[in-house]
Amino acid sequence: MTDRGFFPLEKKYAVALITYIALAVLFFLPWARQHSVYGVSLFGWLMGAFMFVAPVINLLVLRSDNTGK
Amino acid sequence: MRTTELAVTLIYIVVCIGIGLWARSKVRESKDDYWVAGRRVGVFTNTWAIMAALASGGSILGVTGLGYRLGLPYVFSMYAGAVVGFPIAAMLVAKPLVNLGKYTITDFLAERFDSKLLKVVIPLIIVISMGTYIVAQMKAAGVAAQYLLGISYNHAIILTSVVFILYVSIGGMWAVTVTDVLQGIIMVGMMLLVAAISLARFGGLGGLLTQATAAAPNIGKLVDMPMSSYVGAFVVWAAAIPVIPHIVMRIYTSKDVKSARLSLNYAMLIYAFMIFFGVVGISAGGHLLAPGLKDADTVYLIMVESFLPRVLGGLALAAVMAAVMSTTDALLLACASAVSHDLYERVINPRASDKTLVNISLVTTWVIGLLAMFFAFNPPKLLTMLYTAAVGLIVSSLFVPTILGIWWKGTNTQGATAGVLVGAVSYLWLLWFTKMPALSHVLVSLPLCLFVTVIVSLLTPPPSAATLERVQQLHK
Repeated sequence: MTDRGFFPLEKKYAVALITYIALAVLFFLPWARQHSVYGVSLFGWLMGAFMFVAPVINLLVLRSDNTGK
Repeated sequence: MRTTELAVTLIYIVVCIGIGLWARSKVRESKDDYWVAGRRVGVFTNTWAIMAALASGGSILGVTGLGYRLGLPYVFSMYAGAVVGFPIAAMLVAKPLVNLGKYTITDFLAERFDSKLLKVVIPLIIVISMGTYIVAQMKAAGVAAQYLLGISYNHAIILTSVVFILYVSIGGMWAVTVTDVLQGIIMVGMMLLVAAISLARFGGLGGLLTQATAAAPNIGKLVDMPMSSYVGAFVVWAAAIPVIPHIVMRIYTSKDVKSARLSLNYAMLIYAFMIFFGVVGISAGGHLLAPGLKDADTVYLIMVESFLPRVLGGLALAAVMAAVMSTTDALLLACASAVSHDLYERVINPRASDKTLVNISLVTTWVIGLLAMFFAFNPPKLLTMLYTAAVGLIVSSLFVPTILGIWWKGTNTQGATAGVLVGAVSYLWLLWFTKMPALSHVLVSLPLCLFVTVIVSLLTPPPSAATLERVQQLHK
């Protein structure tokens, strides 16, 4: 019997990965393009915020990780 | 000629060359030192080195120019992709690569897939993509040196190219890493300083944006490009970071897995600050200070000249050189390792000594550097669009086989080979022979690569138990 499954990804990483994908999809939907703040599309602000949110989420996930130490 | 600015920039370049000479003593005959800095780089140093490797001439001249021309939402969607790519790299590739303990992305693919074709094709893809990336960096250096010295663009390109190649070729990864820390700090500091002055002068974030979007409404809107271009810009960078050679080499330099993961994330936080405030302060402020610029990539230089006293202006220009040098050196090293390690050592002469390989790296660095210099004489207008298109080739061909090779047991050599070839050929065909919106080509080539890799893998025999055992070890 051949094994064509996946190597396991820790749950916390899987959750973080799904969060990134979900946020990206959410921000690219049309609703974010219909509003603006200070003349800049809400889409722009959300993408700008994403730049800070993404590494912060991952650093929080890493806090409980002792891999490689 | 701007004497004070020139003096500051020259002192900076001399310091970098001095560091290269110092580092030379460490790399004479050790390829571990030459390519991955002896695998002893800690979190602080690697954070700044990763940040500086990604924050290129494109990130100062290019990104502010792009924001000026195409608007803030476009830049943020592109760079949010890059920033998201780092956590993805930290989670999906850092551990297996650190555990593998080699030098390049090709090392992993060669270890996972026993294909002579891949061992030749992948280094070629890397050299073509990274070579194009270097051309964009050299244009940035040329623009800055031209402004600084008052000489012709072509002379500026020759001068800066020779300096960059010289210091990379003498020091390898040790020189690149140590100088990257210095370069990273200078470029972040100066870009944030110029942005802060612009924000203060034009009434803070709200005041500046209100005035700038009144003067140039398009900078706040999604108008110039179709949505597929925005999505493509995001996807290219998000998928590039886990496989782009000059970042992957940084993962190998880390002393352990956690150090690699932390460095990737800290680097991105710093990068996010620099890009966000740099683009708001400089690109948007540029429309108030210098409306209607023909060459958008000069907006940072114009801001520096208007806002800063001469010595600080010199440092701000040195920051551009720093950005270009820190990326160009990493790119040159990635190209050199693709030729000497991936091609020569793996395919042509597996018994080559470390000294021979380091010497081949030196020659390769000069050949690729000089070729890039030649192409930089006539570059396209927007820096960032040029190198992002080049990165798209690597993404289209290497992202899927790398990620599936690490995580899906069913990926086999036939599937990965077909995926690499279909990804690369389809991307180049779409880029050259269709009129798809800029940077959207990857939205077709990447799924195509995924589809072909999976289908061919399913239709051909699965990988051997020994292969899967080797991959299993990388996850421990």
